[in-house]
Amino acid sequence: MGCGRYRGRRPDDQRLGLGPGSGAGSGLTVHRGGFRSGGKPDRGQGSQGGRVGGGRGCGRRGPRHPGLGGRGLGLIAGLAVLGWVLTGIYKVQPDEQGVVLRFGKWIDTTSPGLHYHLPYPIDMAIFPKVTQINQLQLGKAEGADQNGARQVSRNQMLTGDENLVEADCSVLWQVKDAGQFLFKAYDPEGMLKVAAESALREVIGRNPIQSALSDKRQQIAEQVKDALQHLLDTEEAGILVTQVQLQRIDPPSAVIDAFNDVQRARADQQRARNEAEAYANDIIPRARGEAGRITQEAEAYKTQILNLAEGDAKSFQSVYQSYTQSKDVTAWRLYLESMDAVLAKASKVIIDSSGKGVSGVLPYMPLAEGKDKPAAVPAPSAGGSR
Amino acid sequence: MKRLPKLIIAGTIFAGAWGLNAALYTVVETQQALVVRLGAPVGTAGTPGLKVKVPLIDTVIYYDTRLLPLNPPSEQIILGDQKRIEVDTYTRFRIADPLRFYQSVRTVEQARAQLTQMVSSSLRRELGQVMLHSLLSEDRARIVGNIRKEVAFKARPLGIEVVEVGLHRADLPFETSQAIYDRMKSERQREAKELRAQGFEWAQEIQAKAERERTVNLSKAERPSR
Repeated sequence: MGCGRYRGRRPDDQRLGLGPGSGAGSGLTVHRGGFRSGGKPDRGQGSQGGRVGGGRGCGRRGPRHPGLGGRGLGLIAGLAVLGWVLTGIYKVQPDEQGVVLRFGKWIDTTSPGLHYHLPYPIDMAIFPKVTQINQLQLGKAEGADQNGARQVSRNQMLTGDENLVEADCSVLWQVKDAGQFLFKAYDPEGMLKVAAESALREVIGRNPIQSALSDKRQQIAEQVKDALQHLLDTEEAGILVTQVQLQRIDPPSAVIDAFNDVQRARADQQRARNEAEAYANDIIPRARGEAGRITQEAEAYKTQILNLAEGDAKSFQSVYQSYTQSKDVTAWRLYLESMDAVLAKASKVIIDSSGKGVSGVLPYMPLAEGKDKPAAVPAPSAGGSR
Repeated sequence: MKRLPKLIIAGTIFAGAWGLNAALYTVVETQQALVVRLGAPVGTAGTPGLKVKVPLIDTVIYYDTRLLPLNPPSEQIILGDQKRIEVDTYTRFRIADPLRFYQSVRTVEQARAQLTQMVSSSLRRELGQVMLHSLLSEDRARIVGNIRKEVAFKARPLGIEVVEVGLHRADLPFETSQAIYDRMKSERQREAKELRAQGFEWAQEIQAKAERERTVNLSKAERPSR
C-alpha cells in the first residue's frame, strides 16, 4: 500500500441492504463514490473508495527524510480532500435514471447526463436501467428436454371446464418507477415471475378449453396482462408490463392426437358432403339429358310411324286406282306378285307328272330337304336317257 | 518530546472520529432500525437518513422495510366436494411495526415459519368449504380475499402487515392426470364420431335427393312418350 493514506470505508451491498436481484439481474450498477466513464481521469481511482494522493508523497522520500515538513503534509491533505470532493461527479447513461441517496435516504432522481452529489459516505448514487425492455419466459425456460413427466406437469394448468392444457407465455416488462423498483420490493423480478404464473393460471382457469385453444387467445393474453399489472401495482413493484405473448397453448401431449382427430373428423365430414354434392351434380344433368333423349326418340318414332303409314296408304290408293280401271289384270298381277313373294322363300322341286316325256319316273323323295335347292334329280335323267 | 503535542492532536482527532462513528448510524431507504439499549428496546427509526445513538450502549437492529415474499412448498388440500388439489400459495408481507416484531418473532426466518403455518391453516379451512368449479371461476378472487383477511388479522399482533396472499397454482394432483387425459380423449373421440356420422348423413341425403330427381325427370319424360 505504500504511503498513500486510505480514507473512507469500502462500501458494500450488505451495508446498503440491497438484496438479491439488485445487482446483476436488472442491469443495476452502483456508483461507489468514484467516476463513471468520462470525467477527470487523474483524480480518485473509481470503485476503490477514496484511495488518494496517487502515491505522490512516496516519491518525495529522499534527502529530506527527517520529516515531511508541514507544507508537504498540508499539500497532501489538500490534494486528498480535493480528490475526495471530486468523487462526487457521476454520469447517468441515456437508458438509466440516477437515484441519489444521502446517508441512505433517497433524496433525488436525476435524468441522463453529468451530475454532482456530495462525496461518499454522505451521498451515493444508483443507476437502474429504466428504458430497457426485459423479457420473462414462463414455462419453456425450465429445461428444453423432454424427459421426466414431472417436468412436463410444471406448465400444465386447469381450464374452466376441468380440462388440462399446457401453456407457455413470455412477458415483456420495463421499470416504471425506479424508486419503487429499488426500495419497495424485495426481489422484484422473482415477484414478477410468481405473479405472472399466478395471473396466467387464473385467466386460463376462467375459460373453457376450446376458447383457450382456438379463438380467444388474444383476449386471454390481454386478460393476463391486465391481471398481472393489477397484481404488480398492489405490490408496488414499480414494473410496467408492456406485453404478454402467449406462445403455445396445447392440450397435454398424451391427448393431443385425440384433439387432432377431431380436426380430421371435421375435414372428413366436409369431404363426405362434397363428394355427395359432386355425385348429385353429375347425375342430375345426365338424367336431364337422358329425359330429353327419350322424348326426342319418342317424337321421332311417332313421326316415323305416321309417315310410313301415310306412305302405305298412298300406295294402296294408287293400286286401287288401277284396280278400278282394269280389275282382271290388276287382280292377276297382284296374284303373281304374292306368289312371287311366297315362293321366293320356299325350296322348289319340279316334277313332270304328265308321263309324256319320260317313263318310269320315280316321284321325288326329299332326302335333303331344306338344305339347298337341287335344280334336277339325276335319277329321272338317267331313266330318261335309257 | 517534540512529538508529544503532535501525538495528542492525532489522538484527539482519532478519538473524535471514532466517537462520531459510534454515535452516528445511517438508515438506508430499504431499512428501518430498532435501537436497543442494554437489551431493552427504546425506539425505532422509520425514516431513512442519518441518526444518532448513544455509543457503546445502544445497538441498532436493522429490519427490511420492503415487501418480502413467502413461497411455501405445495400442499395437497381437500375441497368441499371431496376433490384433492395441489396448491401453491404466495404471500407478500411487510414488517410494519419493528418493535412488536422484535418482541414476538425477532427474525425474519421465524416470521416466515409462523406465517407459513397461518396461511396453511387458513387455506385448508377456506378451501374445505368450496367446490372445484368455483375456484375455476370469478369466485377465485373472493376466496383468496377471505384467506388474506384472515391471515392479516392473525399476523398483526406480530407486527407484520400481510399485503397479499395469492394462489400461485391450483392443480389436480399428478396422479389424477391420467384419469383426466382419458376423459379428454374419450370426449374428443365422441366428438369426432359425431362429426363423421353427420357428414355421412348429409352425404346420404344429398345422394338420395339427386337420385330421386333423376328418376322423376326420366319418368316425366317417359310418360308422354308412351
